[in-house]
Amino acid sequence: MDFFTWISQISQSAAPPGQPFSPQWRYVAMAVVIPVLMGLGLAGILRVLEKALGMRLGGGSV
Amino acid sequence: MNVTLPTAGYWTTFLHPELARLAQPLHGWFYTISPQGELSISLWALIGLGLLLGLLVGCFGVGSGFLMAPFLNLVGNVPYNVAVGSDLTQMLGSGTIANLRQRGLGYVDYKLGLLLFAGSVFGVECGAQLLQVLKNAGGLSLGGRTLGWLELGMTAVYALLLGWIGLALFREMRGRSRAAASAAADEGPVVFGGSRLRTLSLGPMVSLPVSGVDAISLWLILGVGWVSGLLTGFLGVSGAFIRMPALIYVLGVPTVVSIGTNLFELFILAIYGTLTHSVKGNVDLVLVMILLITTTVGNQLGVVLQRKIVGPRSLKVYTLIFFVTALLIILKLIM
Repeated sequence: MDFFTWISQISQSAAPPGQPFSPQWRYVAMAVVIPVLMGLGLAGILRVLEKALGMRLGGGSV
Repeated sequence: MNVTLPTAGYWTTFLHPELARLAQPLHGWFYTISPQGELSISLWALIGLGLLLGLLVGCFGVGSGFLMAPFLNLVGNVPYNVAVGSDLTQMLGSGTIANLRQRGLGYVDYKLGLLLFAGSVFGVECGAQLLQVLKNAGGLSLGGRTLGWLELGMTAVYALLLGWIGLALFREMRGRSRAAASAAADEGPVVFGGSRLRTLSLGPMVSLPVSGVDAISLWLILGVGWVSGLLTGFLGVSGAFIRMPALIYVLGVPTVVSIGTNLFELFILAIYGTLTHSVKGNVDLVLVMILLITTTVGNQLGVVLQRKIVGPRSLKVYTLIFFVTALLIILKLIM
């Protein structure tokens, strides 16, 4: 099972059809973990690029 | 190439049950809704959108965050609750990058950050609950058409806000050109109305040694946190355009401390906002990943190109973007 299929599965409501949305705990956990890990990775890439290009790049898009 | 957004698809069908009766897929310019309720958006459109918004943040900064949710709704027909929740969640990633990148550039007043957070949590929850109320409020029948309260309410709020930001930018631009025309412009000290609030002596009073503030009303700090949190929870924006001036002019925090404290508060606030919006099912993880990568790349382009492209003409285009977006979301609602 590839990553995006898994993401799609955990994003489904845990409640039966017709009932209000009930999140799976993995979906809630991933909503916090994924952006933080990606942020760490992207910050690392920017640092490497800065050293390679010899110029100051920007911060996060906030 | 299309990308399927699972959570956005779920809420599209929830908010528009008539779509379940479709015999053929519904095609928009950049999206497709299948009869099973799957929402697929052009990957190139999402990449273009992320790059553009990142570029605008990198070039112009303040205000660009307000464009994300309306653009997602315009381009991909992403329901506003998912657009807001996903925008806030990608902000957690952007906040992580910003905190790592700007570490050492400013001091952090952790006591102030945590007190602001106490107010912000309440604000974020109020905003998220308001969104929840609109989401579950159903629709309003108008001339044989059913308009969802969520779409109606959010379109009205965003149209007003975007119009207001556009107007503020226009006034600033006009002010600058007048000042440039009159070299003898009086540059007296600027007095901000908010700075008078600092004298409020409603107890309990707290001291902020790192910020050099001897005594300030706790309610003032909580109030600033609440207002910026409300914007974050309801609109998915960082709220920095309220928090930064409030920290400096209302609370009297030195600029160097306010930068670090703002980023620290933004990060912990984004964690809470992400949690509460994901529990309510407003976060589309696929959308978050695409937006986080593309806005970060766009932001770097914006920073690199800023000196070359930011000038009076590009400011006019930037101002126009706000007015046109406000107009387009209104047209999308009524057409």
